[in-house]
Amino acid sequence: MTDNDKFAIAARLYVQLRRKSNRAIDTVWMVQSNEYAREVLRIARAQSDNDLQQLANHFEALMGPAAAPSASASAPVSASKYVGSLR
Amino acid sequence: MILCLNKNRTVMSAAAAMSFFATAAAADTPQLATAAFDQISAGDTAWMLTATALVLLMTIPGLALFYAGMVRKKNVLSTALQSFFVCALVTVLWVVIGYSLAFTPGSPLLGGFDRLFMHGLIYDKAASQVSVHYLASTVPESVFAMFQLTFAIITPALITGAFAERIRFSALVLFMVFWSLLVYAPVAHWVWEPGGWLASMGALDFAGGTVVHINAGAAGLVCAFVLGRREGYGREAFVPYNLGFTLVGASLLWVGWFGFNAGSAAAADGRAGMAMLVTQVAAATAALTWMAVEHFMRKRATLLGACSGAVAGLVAITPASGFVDVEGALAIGVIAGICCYWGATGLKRALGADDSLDVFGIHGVGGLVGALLTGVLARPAIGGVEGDVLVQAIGAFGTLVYSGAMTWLILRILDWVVGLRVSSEQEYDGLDASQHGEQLAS
Repeated sequence: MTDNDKFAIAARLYVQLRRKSNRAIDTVWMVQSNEYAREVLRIARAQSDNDLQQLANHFEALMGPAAAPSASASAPVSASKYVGSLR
Repeated sequence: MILCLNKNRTVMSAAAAMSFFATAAAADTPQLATAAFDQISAGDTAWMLTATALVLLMTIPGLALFYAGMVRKKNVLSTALQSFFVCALVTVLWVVIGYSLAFTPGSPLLGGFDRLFMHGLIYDKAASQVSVHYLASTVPESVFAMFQLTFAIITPALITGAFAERIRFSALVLFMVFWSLLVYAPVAHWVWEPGGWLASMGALDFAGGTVVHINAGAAGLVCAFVLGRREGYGREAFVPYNLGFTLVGASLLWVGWFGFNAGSAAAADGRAGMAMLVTQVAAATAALTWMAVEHFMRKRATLLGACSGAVAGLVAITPASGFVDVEGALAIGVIAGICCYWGATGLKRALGADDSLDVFGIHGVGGLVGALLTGVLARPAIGGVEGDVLVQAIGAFGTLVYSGAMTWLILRILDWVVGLRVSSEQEYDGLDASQHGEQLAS
């Protein structure tokens, strides 16, 4: 699992997020910063889009367990959940 | 003589259908009357007084909290105020003319003026006489009129969720006046007054699935289209101020709904008990269904989903509550949970309207589901009638079209006369500050 693999998935996330929610992300920074990557994954998962969900899962797998968030998994809710929809 | 006609026991007949444009002056038309005190049931009256208070509790503070919790902080007070204001406004309209238009004999399309300013409603202690309405002959008419008033209040109050966060208060005031008189009163007459054209056809609506929820849902959708989207809709996150308020509001709605549905039996009897039971079952089933669907689709069950599911089940069981058994309630709960989830997500995206708090997605879709399923699941042993899906569909879609068309007309006229939307700057500042000069502490 190289950074190239992560970059390839990040690029696909870029395209999908741009299409689905008109959001632009920094793919290079996503590969370098786990914190930024986790935030992008939260946004992707909030879109209720199967492709985005799968890409997010794939990228998270590439990040490995060391990069996983703390055990409580109490990540703050992404505000993007409420873009264009309440429920 | 007191005629005892339950509003839901009218059965379609060819003769009734043919007499669509006949007035209610026929000899067998029920008439408003008086009764001696000893003909009034203390038990029925006590229950109807209680039910009336429960239904009023649904709007203030139930709906006010339910909606206020879902809007942004800068619009919480204005959103809550809208429900409170509608309560006061519709009360006055109801006693002046609304009740008479809805619940007195007239034509199949509209009632008469027999109760203008409640003229003719009497309580004469010396003569031991009290007015009674033929739809609830064992309780004083004052109680019946007050019970129906609470329905007339919550229906337009529901619509406020569709145009939340962007309507001018002056436009809202005028809209509510015209909508109550030109849409709610006629539709209530069509469905609930025995001479109304839908009642004559045998359309079943025990507690207001058509009159309240389809009516408000259709109006809400048209409001969302005509007023347009909020500034930043689809680009910015509209984070709800406090979903804890929404949970409290939904809980008040759930409890108050026992008055709504069981109270619609107009008596403290076994049918009211069945209505209460199926109401609880449908609400619980729909809440669980919505949460399950949400978990399946998004890997999470949410508080807002649970509240929305419960309300969806309550909406859908409303027309059916005096006609179905527990199995029917379970089926309605499951179907309403799935359909209303779709209504508030997939259908909402497809329609493209900014129905802020999903009035159509939940009340419109839930009302349609309930109305149609009443035609399928009605048990003669409970309500005394068979359901007819075709008649139910005519009632549901007829109301949908009328409500939508009249709402569009009222809004277009008001837009021309006073303007519907606040300015972009006022919307950015929030309606609390721009419309009412108030705000929550930061």
